Amino acid sequence: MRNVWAPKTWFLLCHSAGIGLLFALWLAGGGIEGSTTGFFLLLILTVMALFRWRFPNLTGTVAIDIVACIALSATGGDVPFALALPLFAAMYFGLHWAVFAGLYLFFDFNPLLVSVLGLAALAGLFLGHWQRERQEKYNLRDRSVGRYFELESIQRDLSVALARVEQMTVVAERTRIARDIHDNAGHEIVAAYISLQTARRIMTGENPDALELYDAALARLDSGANKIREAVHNLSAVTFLGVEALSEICNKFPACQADFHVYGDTSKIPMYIWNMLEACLKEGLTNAVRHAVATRVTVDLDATPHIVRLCIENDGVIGAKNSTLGSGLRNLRQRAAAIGGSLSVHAGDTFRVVCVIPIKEEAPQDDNEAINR
Amino acid sequence: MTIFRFALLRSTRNPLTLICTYLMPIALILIRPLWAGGNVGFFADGGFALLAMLTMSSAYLMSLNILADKTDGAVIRILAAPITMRRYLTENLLSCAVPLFVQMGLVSILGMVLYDWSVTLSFAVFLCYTILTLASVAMAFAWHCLFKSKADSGAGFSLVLFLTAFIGGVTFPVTVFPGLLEYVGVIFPVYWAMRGLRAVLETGVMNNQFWIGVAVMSLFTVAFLLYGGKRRIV
Repeated sequence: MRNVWAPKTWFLLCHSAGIGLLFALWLAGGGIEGSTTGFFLLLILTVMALFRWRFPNLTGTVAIDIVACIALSATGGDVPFALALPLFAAMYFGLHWAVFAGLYLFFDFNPLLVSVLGLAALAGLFLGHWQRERQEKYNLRDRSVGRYFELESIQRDLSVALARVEQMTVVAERTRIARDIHDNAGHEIVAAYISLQTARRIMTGENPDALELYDAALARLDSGANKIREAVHNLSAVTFLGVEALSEICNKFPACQADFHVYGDTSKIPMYIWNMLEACLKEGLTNAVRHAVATRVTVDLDATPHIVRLCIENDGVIGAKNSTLGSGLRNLRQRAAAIGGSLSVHAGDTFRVVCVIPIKEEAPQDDNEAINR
Repeated sequence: MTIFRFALLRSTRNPLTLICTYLMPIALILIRPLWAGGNVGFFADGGFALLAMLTMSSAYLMSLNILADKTDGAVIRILAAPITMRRYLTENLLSCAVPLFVQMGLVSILGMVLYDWSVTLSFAVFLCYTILTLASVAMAFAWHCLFKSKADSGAGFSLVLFLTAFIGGVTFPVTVFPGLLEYVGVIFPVYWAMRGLRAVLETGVMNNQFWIGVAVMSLFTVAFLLYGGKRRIV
């Protein structure tokens, strides 16, 4: 029931009533014997009203109604009163230039006509303002709802990203432990085992029981070294992380050639930034396939001690004609902003997405050195 | 033109449509007393008035397919195919109008042959009835969009036909009606067709009265199409 008495309904009712009144006026003026022109004009006004009802965006066609009314007013009778109808419609649509139609009154001044035209214009103005105000409220509501859903979407993305960062951190830590065992404990044990084996060769005249115990200890040491090697192997990451992950994504991009270049030392980039860069790269490549006819994609990763910059550029610019960002890029921009960075899009001869993220100095670095090796 | 072809074939399955659209106009033109001039029985303009009423009825019957598609849900299945609503409506309405155009052409030619109509009168008859056909098809289409069942639509349209026949200047000249009732018939396209044709019959030339009638019928066509096009048929 909410929309039944909306300003639009009032407008349609008033417009229809206006046509009915004009028809009655035409009948009272002698009908077809009085003026065929009157009925013809009435029909034109009806057709134009239906036309604007069918195609609501073509409000400018009200000018045709005004011209028809003024042109046929010369035939005399009550025809000038028909001008009230397009004037009412024009004011409702916010076409304020239509008040110039009132200049007609200079040629045919009639107090009753002035009153009718004035009332029609005022009624149209009132209904039009009411409609626009109502529309603005609806727009505001729609924008709020849109923002709410966008925030929900960002929240979902961040939850997924958090889980991914946690997973990547665990993998990085396992890689660091494996490397430590391999580089430190593993090497020491193997060195000790080799030394003991060498010592065994020069131990010829010793007590046979002591030698037996020595050999047993060597065997256990050998078994221990093997178990350490197995543990290191099991701890090592099987997935790609960091710069290797980006490189792998580019290498496996199926749509076109994707060149990946790395500049600078990437070992100091923390894990949460890698996760962000990975998401950015995936979005950039997806856009190159979905919204552009790209034949080549270039991905540049610049790492400095203070910032990291990822630039994804494709040569298909079909999607670039639309200046508004899609939800994917909007969400990424929010995520970049959340960690102090920025994401910008440039559409020119090529379509370029640039993500710049600052590297915070307090971020732990040991994990990253391990995975970037 | 697949929809056009099938709509045309479909309309020929109904015997009543077949008789009204394909046989009656030719049958009418062959009945000599109807075209002798002046009033015939109740009909003010003899064969011309009967042909106008027949055109309206045929347009209604031919366009019943649109209502049938709407009521049995076929339009939803049709639109599931890669066919736009505009194409569906255009081809359906064309399939209603084209057979009547052909009939009007035949009537004009037979009138020239049988009753020595002048070329001007024959052309005026063809033009007037062609535009009336368009207006009638558009009117029937707009009418069908108002209803959800064939029975309601048929009952309502029979009332419209009755009013058209009485106050539209078909059965009686409108001058016999008292007061304002004399002019209410202008809201029917048939009134303007009869008015235009009468002007040609009286003067022998296509004067302003005739062209005003044609223009008004064209405006009626546009108005009905706009109204019908706005209403949802799905």
